[in-house]
Amino acid sequence: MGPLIPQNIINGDLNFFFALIIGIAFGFILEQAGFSSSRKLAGVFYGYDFVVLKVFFTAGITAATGLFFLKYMGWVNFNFLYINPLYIWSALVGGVIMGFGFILGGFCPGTSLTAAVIGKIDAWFFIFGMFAGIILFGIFYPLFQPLHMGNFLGNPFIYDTLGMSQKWFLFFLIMMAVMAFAVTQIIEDNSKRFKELLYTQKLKTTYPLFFILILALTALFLDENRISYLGETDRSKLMTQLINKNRYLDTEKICYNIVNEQKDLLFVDVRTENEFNDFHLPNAVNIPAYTVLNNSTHNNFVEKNKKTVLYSSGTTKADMVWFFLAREGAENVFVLEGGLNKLFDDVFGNNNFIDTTKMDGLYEKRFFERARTYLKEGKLKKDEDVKTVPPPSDFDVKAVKGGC
Amino acid sequence: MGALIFSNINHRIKAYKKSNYDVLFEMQSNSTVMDYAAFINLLAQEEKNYKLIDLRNSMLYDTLHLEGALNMPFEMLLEKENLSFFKKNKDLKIIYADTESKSALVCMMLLSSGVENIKYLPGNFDIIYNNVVVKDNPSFYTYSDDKAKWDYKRQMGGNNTEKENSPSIPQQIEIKPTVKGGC
Amino acid sequence: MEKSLKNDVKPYMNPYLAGFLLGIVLLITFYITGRGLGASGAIKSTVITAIGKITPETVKDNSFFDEYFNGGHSPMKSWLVFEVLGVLLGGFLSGFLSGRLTLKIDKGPHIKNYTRLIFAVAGGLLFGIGSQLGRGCTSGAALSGMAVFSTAGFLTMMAIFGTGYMIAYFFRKLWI
Repeated sequence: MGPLIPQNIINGDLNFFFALIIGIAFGFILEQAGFSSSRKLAGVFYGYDFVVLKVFFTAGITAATGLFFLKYMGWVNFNFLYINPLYIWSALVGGVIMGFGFILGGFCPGTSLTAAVIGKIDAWFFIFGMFAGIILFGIFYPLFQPLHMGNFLGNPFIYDTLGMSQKWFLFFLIMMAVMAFAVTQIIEDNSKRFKELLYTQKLKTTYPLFFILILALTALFLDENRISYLGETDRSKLMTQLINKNRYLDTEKICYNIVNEQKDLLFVDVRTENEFNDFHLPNAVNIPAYTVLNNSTHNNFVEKNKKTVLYSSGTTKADMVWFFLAREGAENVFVLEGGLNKLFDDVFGNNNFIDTTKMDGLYEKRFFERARTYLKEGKLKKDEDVKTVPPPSDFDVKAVKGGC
Repeated sequence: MGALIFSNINHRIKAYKKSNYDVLFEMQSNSTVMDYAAFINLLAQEEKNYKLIDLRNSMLYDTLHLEGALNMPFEMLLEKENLSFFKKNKDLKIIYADTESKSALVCMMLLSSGVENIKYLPGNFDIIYNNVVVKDNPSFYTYSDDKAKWDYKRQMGGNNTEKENSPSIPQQIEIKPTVKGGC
Repeated sequence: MEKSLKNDVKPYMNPYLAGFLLGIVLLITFYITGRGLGASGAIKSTVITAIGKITPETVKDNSFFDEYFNGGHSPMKSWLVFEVLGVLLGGFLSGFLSGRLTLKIDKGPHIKNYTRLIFAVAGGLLFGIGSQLGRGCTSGAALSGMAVFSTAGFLTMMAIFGTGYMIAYFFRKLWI
């Protein structure tokens, strides 16, 4: 289901609109929390105001718990989320430099914006400094590049790096947060400097924290290896479909369809681009097997009035693609059994096994001859007798439903 | 909220353990195919730290099967004992069936269910048997049913059929979907 | 006990409530867009656009400015630029509603204004460089990183705050 825009569930053009709205909420909350004051921000390092820790940690665990549960329920697909890439030395050095920046400047980029816009002059100077810093970084980038792009370790998850399960890490994180809140509250209460600053409201309610805590405890009882997304086919149903062979169409049906120019089948060639260019079935579309789950494929793929027939040189690749689609819930996806190999065997191979003494056999032979001609010439010859052979009796014509 | 979670749990007790995308990655990396060369080497090893599973029905299995292979008709794949056999066993598990696509599909179903360390043998049983057991046949080392048996292009006289109605689809395989993020 | 320096200024929001709301905003952001929050990326886009316009030849081979030449559209048309515009609007709105719109320099009691401003520039400069290396700042790398359990996010966050604590003593005159 989510994330919505990367999976094109809502229009990508709305992305900037959402950015604006989200930014407004972000800026509003930051300012409301007091992050528009550098003195309040710096307090976390000197023990007189821990607002940074409280807001930051609470926000982090709220979002992390939320994402954990969304993932568990199959409402968000982590494959489509931005997971920070780890360039380890760049990250560490950058973090250290930012640490200096925080102590000297008293801001971080986001907070400096909210401060600047309400009139804090020191924030304006901070922002000016940021521009200068980024300009310097950019101009001298060739010097920074080896550090910036070096030691790439992928996009690991913290629980994997630490060798623990996600739910236990979440629980552990929340415990740490709660302890930090308790400790810092004690420090704050005893701090003289805190009383100089504008006060926050008395902390009557910490209900959201309890809510998060309970969620985290619940999480411990869940099987987090469960990865099922909304709309996916049930596993046993998929197995049933795998076992029955309803998805297979054979050469005769395909040839019949092609020769009679019935446009109700969409042929999808799952081989590589080169193989496709060498030869493909008339009006076939090329979707290399492993691109079948790409977003772009999802959009271009489904035509509502057609059944989809996957084919490959043999059967294997087409069946594999069928599996991916069937698991996602696609219906009306068929597979050419035997693939092009069998098609060519039947049409161009030795048809001597057909008994032409019987009427059925005669029809069959002429049928394949027509198929041959059609495939080679792209159409039947003009003066060809277009009286068609009656369709194979077991050709099903089920109603078409939606696609992927 | 609790009701939502509960109904979800009830409805999907036997859920997948690996996302469709991750299964695709494994299949794409080709690490799930065991080519005959590697298989022959494996068979020649002293230590039998792998398990061979024959997915065909018991009749075919009784007639002839690869030495040391266990029988598990593929229709019974999701039965509790069978699935837990695959999951609990940490050794390399090699499966084969009477058609290559069946082996591949069973492999995918197992991966989706959270089974690790599994490979399938390409080709069908007869081909495997004749080119691995009966005779070690190097020309079959990289065999697959899904390789072209005809030179399609030449057979069609180099005439390419019409390309109408083909929407332009990107040809490159997208590596893990990258959402732009960061600061 | 509530003490305020001015009578018409509203107190700040309960930090846990603010954190919770911020977390929900972050969650929604991920759910809709697949990405987290950020700020310094917008400044990067502005820098790229400006310098790309002024001296394109000198930076043509500099991969930092790639976006200007290869993007096909202005780097200013980016998610973060719009988000930052929103941040400015939202911050202003909050300040306005709370009566906190005043020109002011926040600083420790023992230093002069110009000292504070000089250090503000220095801090900004360091953050400019650091945020590029760290691929994010406290909101982009640390906060959003925590939400998705990314190792990089946690590492950067610990580096920022760890360093801060270690050097805080030496710069205490700035703040206390």
